[in-house]
Order: sequence, then structure tokens, then C-alpha cells
Amino acid sequence: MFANRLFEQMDRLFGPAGFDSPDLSPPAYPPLSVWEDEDALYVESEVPGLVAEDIGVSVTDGDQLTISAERAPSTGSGEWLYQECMYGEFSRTITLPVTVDPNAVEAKYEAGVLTVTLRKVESVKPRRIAVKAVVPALAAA
Amino acid sequence: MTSNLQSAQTQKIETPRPTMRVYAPRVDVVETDDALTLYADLPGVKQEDVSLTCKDGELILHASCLPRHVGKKLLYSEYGIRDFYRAFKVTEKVETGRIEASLKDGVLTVRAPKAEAVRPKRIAVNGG
Repeated sequence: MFANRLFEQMDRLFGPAGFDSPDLSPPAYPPLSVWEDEDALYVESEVPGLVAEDIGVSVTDGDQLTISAERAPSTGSGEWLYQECMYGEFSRTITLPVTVDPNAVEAKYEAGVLTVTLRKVESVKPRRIAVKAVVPALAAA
Repeated sequence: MTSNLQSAQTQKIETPRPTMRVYAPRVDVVETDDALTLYADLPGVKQEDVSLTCKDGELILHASCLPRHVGKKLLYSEYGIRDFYRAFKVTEKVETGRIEASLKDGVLTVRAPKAEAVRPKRIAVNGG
């Protein structure tokens, strides 16, 4: 009885996870957002400070997109007063919601934002089905 | 730490309009003998959309960021696209007229030279 109340209190203080399973894992880097239209998926990532030529983008198995690169630390010596930016190598693979054409992938790096355009394969594109109006053979006379 | 560029606020972000929702950019600040250099991550920001104001010992960084992919359907998102805003209190004497800033690949670099009076000086010792 008392133990239950204690856990209830702890849940209230620390959230339902309590002490057992706090999610301490850092968020995946780089952060991604995905948009789509009828023909393509657009995977975008905010990755400032990279060199465009060093960014690796690859698609395997039709729906596995991997983005990898390395960010070099801002140059110069001195005393650090703030250090919040992330540096170093990273690689992230995501599963795309639909199959894409691996031969028609475009990647663009502009103002620290990477945009990967992936064309959907024909079979997954939405298709409008024409509905035929059937004229009854025998109209009620 | 003989820190000089102190954070005006990290948690609480003061904005020109209290209702305006903004992101505080991540920054690095490095101090050398003759300057303070600030690096701020501003992904998606164009050069003409950055405003830096130095007023009353405060350096205010504001960058407007327009939404991208308008008209497409958002499937998944790990970040939002909003303006960036952050203010820093500059307690060290800097030459505000000589602050230089540049933006490259979404990283803003601001170099504020220290005023002559506060730079460390090496005094030559004369042998007798």
C-alpha cells in the first residue's frame, strides 16, 4: 500500500517512466525531416558546417537511406567560453516509407541544409482509377 | 574563468515580441588575446536574413528563416523551422565598430576585436 503510493508520487515527479527506464539516449544526429508529394520523397537535414563534397548519401535495398559526413571543428585556438556545436563523424540510416529509385537520387547542400530528393518507383505512386459509369441496359420504362 | 561574453540567458529567450516563437541557435565562443569569436549554427538562413545588433553591451542575433517545402506533405519531423534569436551580454570591452561577421554553410562567424585597453600587453624587460 505504502509502496504503491510511493511509486505514484515518483511517477508524478519523474513521469511514468520513473527510475527504471528514463530515456537518456541522445537524439539521433543529424536531425531529419521528410516530406513527400506524389512523385518523390524529400529528406531534409540541418547539418551546418560541412563541405558539400564530403557528404555521403546512398540508397540500398530500395528503401534504406544513409547519410554520412564529418564536421571539422571551428578553427582557431583560444579559451572556449561556450561549446554547444557538434563536431566529428556521423552516419545515419533510415528506412524510407516507400521504395525509391536508387538511380534517380539527387542531393543538394545549401546554407547548411542537406536536401535529398528520392523518386518513388512507379508501382508505389498513387494512381487514379477511372470509374466508369454503367448505363443500365434496361432502363425502367 | 575570466569570462566576458556571458550568456544573457540560455533558458529564457527574450524576443522583440513575447509571442514570437524562436529557436536559440547553438553557439561556440572562443576567446583569444585580441578577440572574441562566436560561431553560431544557423542552418537554412540566408546571408541577407541575419541581423546582428550591438547595443548597450548586448549582442543580439536574429535570423529569419522561412518555411521550406511549402505545398508538400510533411511525413516526419525532428526539427522545426523558425527564426533564430539569441542575446549575449558582452562585458568585455570590444570595438563594436570593428565587429566582422560572415555566413558560410549555415555557420555564422562573428569576430569582435577587443579594445586596445583590455588586450594583454607584453612588457619588454630591459637588461641593465
